[in-house]
Amino acid sequence: MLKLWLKTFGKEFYKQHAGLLLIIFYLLFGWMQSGGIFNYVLSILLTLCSSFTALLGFCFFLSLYGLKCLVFISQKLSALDYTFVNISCSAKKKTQLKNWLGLYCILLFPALLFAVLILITSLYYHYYWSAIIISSCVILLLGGLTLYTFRKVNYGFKPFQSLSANWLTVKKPYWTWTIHYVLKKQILMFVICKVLSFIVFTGIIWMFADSGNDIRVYLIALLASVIAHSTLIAAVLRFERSSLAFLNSLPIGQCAKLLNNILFLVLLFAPEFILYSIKASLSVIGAASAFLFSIVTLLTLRMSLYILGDNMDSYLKFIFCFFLAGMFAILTNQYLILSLILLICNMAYHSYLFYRSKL
Amino acid sequence: MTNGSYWIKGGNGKGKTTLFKLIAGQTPFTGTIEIDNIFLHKNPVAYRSKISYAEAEPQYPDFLTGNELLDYYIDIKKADQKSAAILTDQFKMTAFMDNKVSTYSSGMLKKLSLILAFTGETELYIFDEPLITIDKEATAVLYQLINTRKREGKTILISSHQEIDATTLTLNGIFEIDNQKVIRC
Repeated sequence: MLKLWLKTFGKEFYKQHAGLLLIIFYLLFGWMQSGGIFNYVLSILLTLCSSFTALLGFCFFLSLYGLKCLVFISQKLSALDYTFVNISCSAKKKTQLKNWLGLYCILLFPALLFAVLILITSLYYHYYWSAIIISSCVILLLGGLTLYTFRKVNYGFKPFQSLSANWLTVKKPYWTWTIHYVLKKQILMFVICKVLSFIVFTGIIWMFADSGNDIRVYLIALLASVIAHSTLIAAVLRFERSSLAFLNSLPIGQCAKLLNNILFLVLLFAPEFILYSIKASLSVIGAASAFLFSIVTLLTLRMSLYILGDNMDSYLKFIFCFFLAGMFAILTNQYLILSLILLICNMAYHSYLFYRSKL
Repeated sequence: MTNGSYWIKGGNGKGKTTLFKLIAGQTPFTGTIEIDNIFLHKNPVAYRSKISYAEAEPQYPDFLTGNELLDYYIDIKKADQKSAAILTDQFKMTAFMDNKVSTYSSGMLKKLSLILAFTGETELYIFDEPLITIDKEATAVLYQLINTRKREGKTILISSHQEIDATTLTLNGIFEIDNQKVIRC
């Protein structure tokens, strides 16, 4: 049974999340030289073992990742092509639990590997409390996920009491639909993106703390934050192509469509921009150019998906090249020119897509 | 094609939905599509304001309510709120319009797509398999609405596997798609 689940759930999960996992990997280890990786990983592990807050932070990430897996499994279980899973109910309870545990271990493998490393390090360096905390967290998480999924599959016929507040219904105008989609359907990905974005932003600011109030440092931090949103942008575009396809036969002008896209990106990136404004004490022109740069780069990520045809491998390669190009433009103080060129290109491509019935 | 109602026949995979999606401006294509000298490639907004399209398998964001979608259509098509309310009444959907689309059955979803397609004034109505999943009463309402639009001088394109009842809807022409060509029967 586990073999079949790994072929279906497991394969699909890694196929869908390969981009996100690779981006996290790049951001964590990509900038390290191969010789220094061991010391770098060891220092991270020691920080996690010795600092209670850092360890709790890791446990939070682990739980978030676990929740992501749970949402993925739940979505698949409610899909029509996954009804075959219900046959597993006829197996013994112990077998079912073992299989679900095995599946979650595979889905959580990258995070579990790191948790095991933390456990070994904390035992080796005598941080016994950290060992207890991390092992309890892993046991509770895996146990909870396994039991919950077992119950969901075997006792799904029991009525579920909804906690939704019907009196709190707010009208949803058109421009808020994508925001609603993100907050209702992609909340976990949204939180992961925001946490990742916050980490890379503050990490880069700390890394270049000795550079003073140099706008280029903040722009590199913003560029990294933008790239942390790449998977979310791809998910939103997929939603638009499937559930909002009916808009393509309505008389909506290309300016309205473009402005709506930009408005969504502005709202999506607003927390980072507020953080940026607090951290950097720049002039109005500096702030405006940074805002333009970040929105245009977000728009470029979105438009690139049309050219790349939703191919995540190519998208990842593009992001890497784009990051290098953006870094080069920032370091050579050409970011404003790059922003304007990208804005013109994006607008021209948007117009082309609109007149070719692709929008 | 002059005003009136037309039935597009053709077996599975013949290209009826693709043809309708092309006319509705939902799929990229090479060549030209025009209504009253308004070309889709040259003036997409003006072109799209002349058409109404109800898909065979309508898909809407499941967190929206029927009324939220209807309000959006009213706004975009500059339609009249009263006539929209009459339409929802005719399809017996008024009681469900404040419910989320995710709670709708396939028949209700189809009715919603028909309500949205009939909202506002357009020249060309395109209905892809409008008879599937809807009940007899809704089918009668659909025929009645098509006849009314026909009398108003509009053009209606229908694709259907099921035979169209000639006593309730007189057709001005029947077409068949064969080998990627639209042939008049």
